[in-house]
Amino acid sequence: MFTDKQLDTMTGKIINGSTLRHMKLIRKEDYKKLETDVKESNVVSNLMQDFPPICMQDPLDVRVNFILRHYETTGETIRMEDVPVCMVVLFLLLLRRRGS
Amino acid sequence: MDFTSLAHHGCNIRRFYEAQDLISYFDMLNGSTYMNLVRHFWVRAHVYDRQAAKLEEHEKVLIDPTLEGNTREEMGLEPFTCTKIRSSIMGILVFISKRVISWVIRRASEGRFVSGLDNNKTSPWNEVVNRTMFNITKKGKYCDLSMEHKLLLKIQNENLLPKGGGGDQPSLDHRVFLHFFMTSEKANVPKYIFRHMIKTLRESQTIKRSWIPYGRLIS
Repeated sequence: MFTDKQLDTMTGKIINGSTLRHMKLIRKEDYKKLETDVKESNVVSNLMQDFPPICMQDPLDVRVNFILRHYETTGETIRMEDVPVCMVVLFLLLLRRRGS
Repeated sequence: MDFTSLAHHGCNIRRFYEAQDLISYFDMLNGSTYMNLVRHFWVRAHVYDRQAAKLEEHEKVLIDPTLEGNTREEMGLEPFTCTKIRSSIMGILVFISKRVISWVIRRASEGRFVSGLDNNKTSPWNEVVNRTMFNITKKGKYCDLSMEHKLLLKIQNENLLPKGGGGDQPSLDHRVFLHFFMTSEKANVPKYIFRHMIKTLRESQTIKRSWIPYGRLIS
């Protein structure tokens, strides 16, 4: 919903010997990569299917923007009446749908 | 944070963070950041302080004037215990307080806390920090700092009191915080982090600054 560019977030930055080289605190030739160096990795979360991330407890502008974005990306319309009151109601609806 | 790599390259700064009981915090920083959760938290976050609590009471009285003079509990409100950052993720209410930060980083909320100096040139802290940073009473330059101290400042600007832009001209508040680390005098790090989080949140809401600090800590 929000990109790194929009929110100016950054992850995966590691402060190590390479940082010292970039800060010109050590010479380029003195920098050595070690086997023990911390490495960046990505883990994909286990995503739940059909988990709408909004409910009526969210502010109105959040709901409106989510519905607009959902329409732009999928072409599907979500009516405001269909947005669950709270997450507990949503879970019950999902369970009933899966059970049937 | 890779202290082993830094030490291998002649910059052994682990001891500064050991003295502040912050090794657990830096170990935690090497874990996963749940970026979507952080974003959802931040865009809905607001500061709930004494002023916000008073406003809440005032609203209750406006709706029902007979409640005037009653306690918060009598008004049907939760008692105000401490300042919090409140938000919701997927409709679930979540909050962050100084105590929560202290628990997450496994570090007691104790030690010195100095804030609100606002680059005051007459503050006695100027002489103290200049002596620690440059070993002179006058303000020195960034290039005069030792390698270890330059890196301590960088880590402070990235992980402890994160800020955007250049970090080679820290404010007096930031220099005092750095002074505590250089001299191994215990600083109240959870309180510093919490206050900085509140300040950044207010900035992001008032001047529409889209910057999220402490992504990993919020995760």
